[in-house]
Amino acid sequence: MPLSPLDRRSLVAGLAATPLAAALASASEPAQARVRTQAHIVIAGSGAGGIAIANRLARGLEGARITIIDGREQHYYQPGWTLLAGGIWPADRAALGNNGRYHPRGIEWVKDFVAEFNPTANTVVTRSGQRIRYDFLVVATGLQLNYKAIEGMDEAALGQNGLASVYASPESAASTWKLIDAFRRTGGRAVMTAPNTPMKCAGAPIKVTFLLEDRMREVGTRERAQISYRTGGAALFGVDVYHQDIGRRFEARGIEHHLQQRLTGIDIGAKRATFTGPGPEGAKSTVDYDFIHVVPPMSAPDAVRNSDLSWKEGPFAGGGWLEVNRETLQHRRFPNVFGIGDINGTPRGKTAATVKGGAPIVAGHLIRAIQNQAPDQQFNGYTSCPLITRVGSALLVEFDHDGNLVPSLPLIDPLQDSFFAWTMKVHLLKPAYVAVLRGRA
Amino acid sequence: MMYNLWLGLNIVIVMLLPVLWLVGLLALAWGATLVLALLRAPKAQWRKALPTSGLIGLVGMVLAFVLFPSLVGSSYANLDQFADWLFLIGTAVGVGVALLVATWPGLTCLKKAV
Repeated sequence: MPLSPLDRRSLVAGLAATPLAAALASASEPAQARVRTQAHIVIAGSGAGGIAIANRLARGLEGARITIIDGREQHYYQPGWTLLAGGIWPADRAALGNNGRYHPRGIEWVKDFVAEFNPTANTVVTRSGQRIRYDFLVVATGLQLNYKAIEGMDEAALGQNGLASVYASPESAASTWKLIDAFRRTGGRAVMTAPNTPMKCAGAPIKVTFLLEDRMREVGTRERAQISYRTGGAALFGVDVYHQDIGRRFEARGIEHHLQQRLTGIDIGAKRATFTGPGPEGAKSTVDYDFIHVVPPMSAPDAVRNSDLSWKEGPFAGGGWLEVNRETLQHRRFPNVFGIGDINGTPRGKTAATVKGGAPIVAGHLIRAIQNQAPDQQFNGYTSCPLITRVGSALLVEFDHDGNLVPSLPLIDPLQDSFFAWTMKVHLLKPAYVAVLRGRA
Repeated sequence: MMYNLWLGLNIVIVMLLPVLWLVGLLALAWGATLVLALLRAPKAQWRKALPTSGLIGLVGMVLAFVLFPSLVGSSYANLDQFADWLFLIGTAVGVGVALLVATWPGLTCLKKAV
């Protein structure tokens, strides 16, 4: 009798839980001393970083006033969107319900978006004009998807006519699978893209490419498709060893790849994409497609980008990323401001795993700042990206700020496909993410 | 190490949250059979019940070993690393031990003294 997804999940949960349970019986949460304060802490953003910090601060502080500002009601497990796009998870499995469900008790939730940051006046202004003063600020806004930077691109057209993007929304991720499923039956020309900007989950476009190719093999239509991967960057992945490895895998699987080719235009009706080479006057080329996966250029949200909080020079200034010290995650010019997650102008590190690594550092340093103490920990930029290479297998990719591999499980070879890494990605990391949200991991 | 244990414990708890009522019910049932078996001492046949519980555990272990890869949407063909096999064996052994422990007190009560 075939198992329903729910039955299967419950069984897997039980099976996975069993061997761990005995070993974990004696584990307990590290004790934390509470600090008394009347400080007002504003957290801009209620994504993974904002909520994780709110929970940690609520536990670490007594008497503090904590305000979260975010107009988004629903919380999604974004690392699961590639699983929706690959047809591995059903469309609703990445939904985590209302954001408020994960907020700590006693905090204030302003359901609006920050439109202006005024760090010299210690205030933020929301879109509706509400001015909120703070003693400490945590910037956790996430990043901005700039689909409009691609000429002719229309987000409303995603999910039709061979136009896919896993990043836009969970609906868009789920519709990517519908398009892949249709494409694998007909074949044709698939064009997979990546921008030349920093992006969240830099492995996602590669995962979607691998899954598309594997799904075609699954139904025996691989020879009917020509798959090309075009990135605006100078490498396939920001860590050289994986750039090389992915290149070899693409070659072995007949996926042609092109570097420094950024998607700058698209004619949705004619199914034609325009790519531009490096530099402002880069050479343009057009490619016809039957299926295209669009990954937009990404930047800091305009509110951060246009404020005093963004980098004013250096590699992160162009995207307007938050100017934080990469080790302490404290703002370099405004010591009562901290950053967490995708918004940070730090090398690499725009994944949920970066939030997991950064949240205890930010919360700890903010609590120390309340007590007029200097930061005492150094964040190494830990980032993890379980890179699905085919259905059933993944690479466990873990690295730091400098692109050094930092495997947390020494028995796992980070350059070899792994069933364990797959099981982690598909079944264990969503619960781990919820634990991070609750500030318990 | 302690952090990884803590993280693992949290993962287990979050995974079990949707079926917490069932876990609680099973834990209560197990606790009741354990108390019953202890109350029946010295009539409870712990040693006699062990082979049957062991057999149930063994069957569960074999089933887990065989079925786990497909239950997680993968297959034996994807067990490429030594650690993958270790993980599978560990999971299967865990299931087996859990079944042995779960059934032992109950079977102890059912076995009759000779």
